[in-house]
Amino acid sequence: MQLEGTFGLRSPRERVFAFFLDPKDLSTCIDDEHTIEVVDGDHFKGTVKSGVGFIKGTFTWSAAVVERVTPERARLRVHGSGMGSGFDIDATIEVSEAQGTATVRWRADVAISGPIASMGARLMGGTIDKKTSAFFENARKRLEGAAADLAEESVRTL
Amino acid sequence: MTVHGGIGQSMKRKEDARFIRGKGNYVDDVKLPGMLYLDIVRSPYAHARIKSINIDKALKVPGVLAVIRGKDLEAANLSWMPTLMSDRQMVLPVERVMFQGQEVAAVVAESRYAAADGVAAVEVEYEPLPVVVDPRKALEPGAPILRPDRKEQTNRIWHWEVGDKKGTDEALKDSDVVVAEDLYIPRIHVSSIETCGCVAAFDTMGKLTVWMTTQAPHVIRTVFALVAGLPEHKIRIISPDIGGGFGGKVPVYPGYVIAVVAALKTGHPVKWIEDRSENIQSDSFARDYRITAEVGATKDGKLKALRVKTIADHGYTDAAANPSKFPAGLFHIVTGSYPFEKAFVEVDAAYTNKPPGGIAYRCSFRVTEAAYTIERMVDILAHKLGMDPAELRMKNFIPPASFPYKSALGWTYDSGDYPAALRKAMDLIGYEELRKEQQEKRKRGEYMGIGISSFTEIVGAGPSQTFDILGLKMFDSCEIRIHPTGKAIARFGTKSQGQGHETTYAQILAEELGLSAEDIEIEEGDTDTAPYGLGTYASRSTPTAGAAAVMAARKIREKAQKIAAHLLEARPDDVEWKDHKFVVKGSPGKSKTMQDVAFAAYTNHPQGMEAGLEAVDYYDPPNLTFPFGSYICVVDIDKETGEVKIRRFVAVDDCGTIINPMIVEGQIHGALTMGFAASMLEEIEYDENGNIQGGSFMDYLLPTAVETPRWETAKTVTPSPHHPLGAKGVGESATVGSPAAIVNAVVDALSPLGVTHIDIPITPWKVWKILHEKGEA
Amino acid sequence: MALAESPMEAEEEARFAPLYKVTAKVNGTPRTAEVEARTLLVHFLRENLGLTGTHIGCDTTNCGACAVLLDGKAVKSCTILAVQADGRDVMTVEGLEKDGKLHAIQEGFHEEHGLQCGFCTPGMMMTSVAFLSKHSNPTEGDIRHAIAGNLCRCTGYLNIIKSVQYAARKMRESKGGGSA
Repeated sequence: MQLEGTFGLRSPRERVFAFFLDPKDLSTCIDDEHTIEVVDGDHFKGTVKSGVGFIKGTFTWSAAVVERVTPERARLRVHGSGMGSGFDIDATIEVSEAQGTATVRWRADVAISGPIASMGARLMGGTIDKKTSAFFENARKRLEGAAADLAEESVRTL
Repeated sequence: MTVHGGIGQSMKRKEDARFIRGKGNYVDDVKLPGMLYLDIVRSPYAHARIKSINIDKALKVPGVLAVIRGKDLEAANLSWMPTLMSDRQMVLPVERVMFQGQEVAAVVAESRYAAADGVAAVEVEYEPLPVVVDPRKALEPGAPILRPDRKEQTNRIWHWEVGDKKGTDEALKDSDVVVAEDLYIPRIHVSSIETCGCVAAFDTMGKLTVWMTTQAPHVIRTVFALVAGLPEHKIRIISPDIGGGFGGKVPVYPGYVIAVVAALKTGHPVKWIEDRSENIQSDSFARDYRITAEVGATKDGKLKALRVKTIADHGYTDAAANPSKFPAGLFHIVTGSYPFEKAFVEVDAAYTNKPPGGIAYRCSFRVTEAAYTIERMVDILAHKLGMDPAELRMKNFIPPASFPYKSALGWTYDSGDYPAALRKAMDLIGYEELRKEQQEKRKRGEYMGIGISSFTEIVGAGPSQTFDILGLKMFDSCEIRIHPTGKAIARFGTKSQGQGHETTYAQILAEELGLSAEDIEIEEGDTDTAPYGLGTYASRSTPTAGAAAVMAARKIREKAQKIAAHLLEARPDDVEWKDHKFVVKGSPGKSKTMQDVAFAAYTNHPQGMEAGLEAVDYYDPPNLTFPFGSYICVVDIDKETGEVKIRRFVAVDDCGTIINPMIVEGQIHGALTMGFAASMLEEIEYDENGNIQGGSFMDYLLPTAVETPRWETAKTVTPSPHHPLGAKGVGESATVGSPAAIVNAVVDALSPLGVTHIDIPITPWKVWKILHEKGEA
Repeated sequence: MALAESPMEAEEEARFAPLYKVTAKVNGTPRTAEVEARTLLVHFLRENLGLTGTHIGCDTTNCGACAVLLDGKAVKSCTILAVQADGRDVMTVEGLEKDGKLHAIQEGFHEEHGLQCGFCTPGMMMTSVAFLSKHSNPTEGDIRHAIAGNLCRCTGYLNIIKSVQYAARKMRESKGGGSA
């Protein structure tokens, strides 16, 4: 399935771009219990406890940044498996800026195979929507919150 | 004297005794000392390369004894095996998986639960490959080649055609009216309540015994002998009680072969029982036919020509169990109950990334597809001409005087009286009144529909010149032995999965031998003792093995007559079989029963004659048999919700001579319910990644007692001229004939809105959308 | 960041997994076996006790082939843990016949041809027995709803309904005529 979205963030473009490619930052956006391990600058991996409906379990995943044009565009490929199922995500993110607001355009090709996709078929759409919204909402809070914190800090140091 | 339990009596079933006590012996009830359990790792991907299979963690799981992979089987030349259609299927893959749910590796463990733990611990790395789920796309140039192992690099498995192409093209061009429609019959899965499974065990002498859910134990034994290189006398296949077959328990599933290998490898009996999800997601499906049909007729409704083109989705290999000369089964019965002078049928089969199969759902080898096609098209024509569908049928039926009737596509129908069956159905349902009611309702904007299906079935495969499965001719057999005290045992090459053979065969023999049906023990399913047969599917048992029973009984009667003559001190020619006794002609008082003869066969047989009283017959049917019927369905549609309520359904069936009316009625109820399920509830769908949508009973909806209509059944009796009893077979007729009646009713209801067809399953959503689009909801 | 559970930990767990002694009164007789926490009631009955009349037909609690009575109530034994039956009464199809006399429901299924392959039959009968213990004169609609959780592929349900009606009649008659 193909997912996409666009949203604005009150945060500088460089900060936003760096955020979406930093494993530690990304980790703060994922609500499901998970681990992240950095392999090198462009590769990371880990585990995540997730699922659809009552079909939940632990997945191992690995991610690779396959394209990086700082600070405007990046492409990420994630492959995960577990519970007799597998998923592949091919995601692109484009960040532009206008008058202090960063605009993020993202697109993801998601392929899920196995019992999760078959037995969970009826719940899949809703679950993916929920998790995607939560992910970007968390990102927004961190980025806009951080900017606000930075502003606060800068105010305090003054 | 009438025998107890003779033909035509609604004798209560002998096999009930164990089932109502929970003392049936199904495969999962088999327990052997030291038995291990097999569970299977299955692919999440519909098409992928296997990069690695890591079994280290699995082997450490407590209770796990072994893990079997494709490369282990490859060493024994067993990683691929032939299908019943002479294609190849994987037992366990070495390089690639071809459908979601395909077997990838197998775990052998001490308990069911440990085996499942082991399966969860096997780590497989896949590289997903492009997936093809649409057979039309599979047949397009440039589509990924799904079977590089085949000589011809194409996704077209075969092309098959029959009939007069040129003549049909011309006849259609000459027709006043031509109606054409695309009919998609989606994939469904028979889901008998018992799933598939086996217990495989080698004894100390190297003999393999496999208890298996199979409808064709002898065929399995021969296939195992050829494929595994085991001598056939060292293989024993036992079909114990089977919880429903319907065609789903004919194919050789990889699980069976893996269990045999595991039993050999571990030296212990190995049990494999699949889960329901595995059953739905990997065992043989049925239907998946995309049909384009065209019917040409005169303007006053005389049928002239029929042209049918079909694309058949077979999954990743052709593992349907059709007779070898007919890869599209008996689909060319599609001229149905009508004397088309010109007809042409072509079928193209395609590979896709889906489980293999094609005919596992009570279909008589694709007759469901054929009957649906012709009965839909006849109704479409009727509506186009503004003619009553019953009238159009009556106008065209093959007249009773024309039988035996040779169809344009090569079948010789043995007997039939189509107008009588339709007339009876119309009388029982009150057809003319219903049409009046419909007129009234239409004026008020209410949606009520009446649908007819006057189908002709074709069962009893089959005559040896044209029928074989993997070269094995499709005869069937019966072996009878009568004991000194007048009781008997009879063994057959067929295998009941609920059809009641222990009762019906006893009834046939009771009639032919003058014994009580209670005194005749019927056995099937053990290849060590049963005579060779091709099994039970496609409604073939009564036409073939039932006939064999009669012929074997008559062989016994021939010898028995001589013994009776000896006892009566008469000449054999002066003795006749009358009223189930041996009587001296002209002296009704001088008679001997079969019981008298049986005793004498061991104690007082004529000098020079062999003792004993037994016979075996292998029956080669001279033709198939052609049951038929007329079904009429009345529906009311709720405008607000699109819900279709079946108000009434009358089924008039003709299966020739009826052995046990109670059992026949039960078969029809069950088969109607499956036809209803296929028409309104069931569908197996795949997304573009080849993920099955659902794959469990949560999503795949079998009808419960709540939805199932109250069927009304009746019969006409038109015996088969060539069957020794005049009987025809009936197990699948109602699944064959009912979908068209239901769809015809729904389309009839919506025809004022210009609707000509709706593909099954007809869900409230589909109906509501139509009503909504037409501004009615 | 905590490490997620790995299969290796599960293996350790399994090696020392405790067994529980379950004692249930099955068909009137106290029966005991040692089971894992996760052992299903249906496996306890079929494998530990050898009562194979109760069948398994699905893995999503839909088909009802596994129905038994737990303290008189019809339950799907594939979705009950064996440990939940500890100290309780279980009745299976094997408990229907008493002293060689068939239960009315068994008689009904035989007389009315309510079974063909027999696989759904035990569950169907147990559900019916529980239902008839609360409804002595059900309508056809009542019966259809009562067995909505039991799937049958062979019979099309009509004769099953007749079988239950037969049993209901027989049970009413025997109640009316004195001791049941």
